[in-house]
Amino acid sequence: MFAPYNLFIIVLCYLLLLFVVAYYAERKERSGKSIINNPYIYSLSLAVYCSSWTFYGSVGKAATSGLSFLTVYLGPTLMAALWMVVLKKVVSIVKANRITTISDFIGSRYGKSLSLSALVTIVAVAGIIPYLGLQIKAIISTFVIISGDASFHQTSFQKVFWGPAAGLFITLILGIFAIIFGARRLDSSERHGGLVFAIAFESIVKLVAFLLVGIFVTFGLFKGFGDIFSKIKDSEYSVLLFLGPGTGTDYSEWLALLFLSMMAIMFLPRQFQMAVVENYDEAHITKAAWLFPLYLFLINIFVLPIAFGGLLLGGTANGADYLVLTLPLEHGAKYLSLFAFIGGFSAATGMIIVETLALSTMVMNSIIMPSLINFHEYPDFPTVVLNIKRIVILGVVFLGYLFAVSIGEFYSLVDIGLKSFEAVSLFAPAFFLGLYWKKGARAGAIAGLGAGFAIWFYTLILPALIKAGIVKEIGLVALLTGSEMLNPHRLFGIEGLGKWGSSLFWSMLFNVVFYIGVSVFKKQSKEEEMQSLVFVESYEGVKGLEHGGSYTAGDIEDILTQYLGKVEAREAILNFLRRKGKGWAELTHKELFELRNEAEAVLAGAIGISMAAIIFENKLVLTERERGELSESVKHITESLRFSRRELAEANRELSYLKEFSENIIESAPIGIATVDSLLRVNYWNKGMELISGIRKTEAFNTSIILLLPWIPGSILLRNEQCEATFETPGRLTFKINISPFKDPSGGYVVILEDITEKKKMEEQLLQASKLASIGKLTAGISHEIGNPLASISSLVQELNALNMESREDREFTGESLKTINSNIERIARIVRSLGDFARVSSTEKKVSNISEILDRTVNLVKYDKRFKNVRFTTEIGDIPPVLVNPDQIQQVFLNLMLNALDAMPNGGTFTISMRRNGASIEVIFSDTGAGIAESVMDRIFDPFFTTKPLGKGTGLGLSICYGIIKEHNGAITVKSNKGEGTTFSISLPVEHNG
Amino acid sequence: MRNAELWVFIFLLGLLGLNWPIIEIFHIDVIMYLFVFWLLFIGLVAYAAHKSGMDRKPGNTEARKPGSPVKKELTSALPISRA
Repeated sequence: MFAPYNLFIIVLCYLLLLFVVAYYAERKERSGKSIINNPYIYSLSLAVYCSSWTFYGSVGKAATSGLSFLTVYLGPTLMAALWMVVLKKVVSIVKANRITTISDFIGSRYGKSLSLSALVTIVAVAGIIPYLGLQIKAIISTFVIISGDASFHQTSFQKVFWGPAAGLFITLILGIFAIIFGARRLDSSERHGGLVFAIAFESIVKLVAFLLVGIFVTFGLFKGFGDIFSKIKDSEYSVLLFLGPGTGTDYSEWLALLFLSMMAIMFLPRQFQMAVVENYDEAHITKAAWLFPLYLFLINIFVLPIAFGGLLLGGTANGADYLVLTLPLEHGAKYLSLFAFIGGFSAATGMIIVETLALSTMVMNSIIMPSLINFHEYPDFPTVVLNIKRIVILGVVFLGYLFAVSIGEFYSLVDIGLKSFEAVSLFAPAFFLGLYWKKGARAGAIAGLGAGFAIWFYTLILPALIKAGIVKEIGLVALLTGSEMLNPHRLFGIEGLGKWGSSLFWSMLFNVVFYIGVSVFKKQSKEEEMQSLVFVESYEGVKGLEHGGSYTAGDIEDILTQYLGKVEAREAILNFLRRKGKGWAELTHKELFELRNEAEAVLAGAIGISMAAIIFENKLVLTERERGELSESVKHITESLRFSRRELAEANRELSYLKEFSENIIESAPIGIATVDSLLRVNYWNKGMELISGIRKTEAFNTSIILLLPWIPGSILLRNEQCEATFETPGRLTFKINISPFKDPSGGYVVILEDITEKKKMEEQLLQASKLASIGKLTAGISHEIGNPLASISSLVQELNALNMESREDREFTGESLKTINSNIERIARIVRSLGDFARVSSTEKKVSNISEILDRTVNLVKYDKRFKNVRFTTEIGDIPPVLVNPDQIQQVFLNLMLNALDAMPNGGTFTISMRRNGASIEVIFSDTGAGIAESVMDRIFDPFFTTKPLGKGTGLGLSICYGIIKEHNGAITVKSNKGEGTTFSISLPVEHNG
Repeated sequence: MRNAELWVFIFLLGLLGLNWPIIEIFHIDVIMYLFVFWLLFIGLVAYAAHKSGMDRKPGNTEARKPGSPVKKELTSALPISRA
């Protein structure tokens, strides 16, 4: 056991530690290195849900009723799955409208209603004060337990003093800490980064403490889970192991408790504060949706072992609430029990501080500020408001203390907590239906909440007050509670719903029926309609509704100054002007209205949205005409939205279809298609890419394309323009890659990969066939060329045979003849060689070549054509440098053009070839005086298989092959022609080597 | 299945699994059932949250493991021409 003054010091040190942690976090945030803005801190901060009820009360509940305690944690686990839909929407609305409490949220939804906001606040305060009380009760009780033995040595005065007085003193300290954490200044954002971090820290402390006690009991006092559960099964407490009829919890009770805890995680003011108001980033909700339930799972693993272990070791249900503390204490682990006390204290402290802050803000915004509005011109009004807030904080905390010492002793921790859960559940219809049903009206929300609250009070609180002796069961009270129909425990005579089920059922039923019933028959005001658009449709455009007004930016600043102080008011205006890039007097009508809305939002953060709306409404009054215009605008928006929603649904369907269609096309395409982002990481990889590259989609995603396809030159991806490259693998496969940048400012590229191996082979075969076809054309001429020397050789050989080699004339003739034969053979050999050179399969390599030599070789071939003799052939070769070309392919181009020219001049003509340098390229011009090409076919002459020749005379591939070859050389081929006037082909090839 | 529908489905699945009559089926060892279901449900939510985050930013974060089956020819190819 520990001396009380030592415990005090420990408690104070722990609170100081929390403060240091919070201060450190705030300092880091101000310096731009936030340690708060991450999903783990966010998830841990949500664990403020686990108060001393979790730390102590769950064990107590498990020891008395078995498994029902689990509902308190299973409910939030289920609800967390819906956070992805509901909570994200709520957070975005809250951020956009600068809402700071749940009463503001509900009030704002229903036309910024102050009365509804105030009603929600009253329900919250009435419902949460008992909950605060149970925390203080837990602190007092555990303080007394852990200072137990030491108290034997104290005087009577000291025993009386240290018990409740300790509670009072600690309550005061907690109130002061709540002020330090959350009311140092009037902050329009109501964000408390340091507090969030401190709560996350204390969540870790309480989890570790509980786990350590659990391990101690399970493995230190017993032999593990199996040992405890088998012993309980054989004991008088075996019923605690089961659920259902005849056990501590039947299924209707189970369902009711599950529902209550689902509502609690959404509507408890401290949960709303942490989950919504203090949320930094909506994306954090995604992780919190499973991290927070995991925390709940971990903190509950040892609840049953501790409860059952306590019962097996002689404990009773009465003292079960504090088994977490008493078990280690009674079994020689006093420092463990001290740590457990700190854990429990931590759990209670976090809850008290956050809940108090949230409640005080609600009270200020909804109840106090409306009363003070007439005093806003009082000097130093903001300081007055701040001091009042601090008093409210202390008041809330002390109300909790009073509850703890007066009524708290009659109920277990869990019982008190569940009353609070049911109170906040009353917000559910107005909250959820308000988010998804536009017709929900203020009057309906007030009626529903009022009816539900009345039922709650009558069925849960009144019996508690009677049990505590605060309300006497006489007169009217006795009449009501004793009647068959109005008995609080069996309302309207209905039994079988269980204690919690009955109260919950009737309060919810009345709540929903009144809400829907009144909303259906009551017409909404314009303000309600506008707000329903904002909340249900998340429609921001309502704020952009223009209306007239004779106020200035200065007027708006004056309003803000009265409530926030000069500095914050001026800062708000200057921020707006900076964003717009305008001066004070330069704002347009529309911008002034935007400033007004923004100022209202800033003020809402400090004093509540309802009050801010009233203040601005009062100060900046609309004329009747302006009201009418506003009303018309709202009607128009509502109609447009209804229509737009239908159109949107249809567009959505069409978009889905188109998306699926295009995805199918891309996936089925026989080429590889991939997209990369601006950092060259793959974000799409189709089936074709998988087949071509052998890299699977899952391997490719989010990997740099440079790693996947390292042969892509990085320089291609740095260019912000489309480019192509062809490459060959060692296995002689050829690929073409096309890279196109996205036009989107965020960057990225589309990469298309095509296996062109077969295509390349076919092109080569086609080229070869074209060559052979060209040779075929020359056959007649070639055979004539070869025939001449052959005839000459034959004639000379015959004459040589007839010679008598004895005469000198015969020998001289023989020598001359042999020379002639030799030269004719060489001529034949040249012809055959040039044919052979031309006919061989072309190489694909480019090399630095002399174009005029290629032209010469081609002319040597063409002159075998008989028609060449009828043509006047001239060349004009300028001084041209060597160029990097494939000589065989260029020769093929020259040959095709020359043969075409001969085809066009069957009866002769003039054929000129000129070659000159033109800047960075070489021009080769083939000009004939043949039949010319008609204008109507000019566009198609380079098309494959297009020919003007009669069937069988041309394949239509010659010019198409020429075009392809010149394009591959980065050159250009053009044609000019008029029918009957001849044709000129111009080829331009880039000079890559300067000769 | 769209995002919102998926989450509502998961929620309803949990609600079903944590109530009568499903709990009654496991009445013999309901404690084990509750804790196992609880953990599995958390795992399901974690998985769905991870997938929904992935759907917005397509591609997984798994780097290509060394030695993955990649056509050697392709990765060691040399460009032969550039258009």
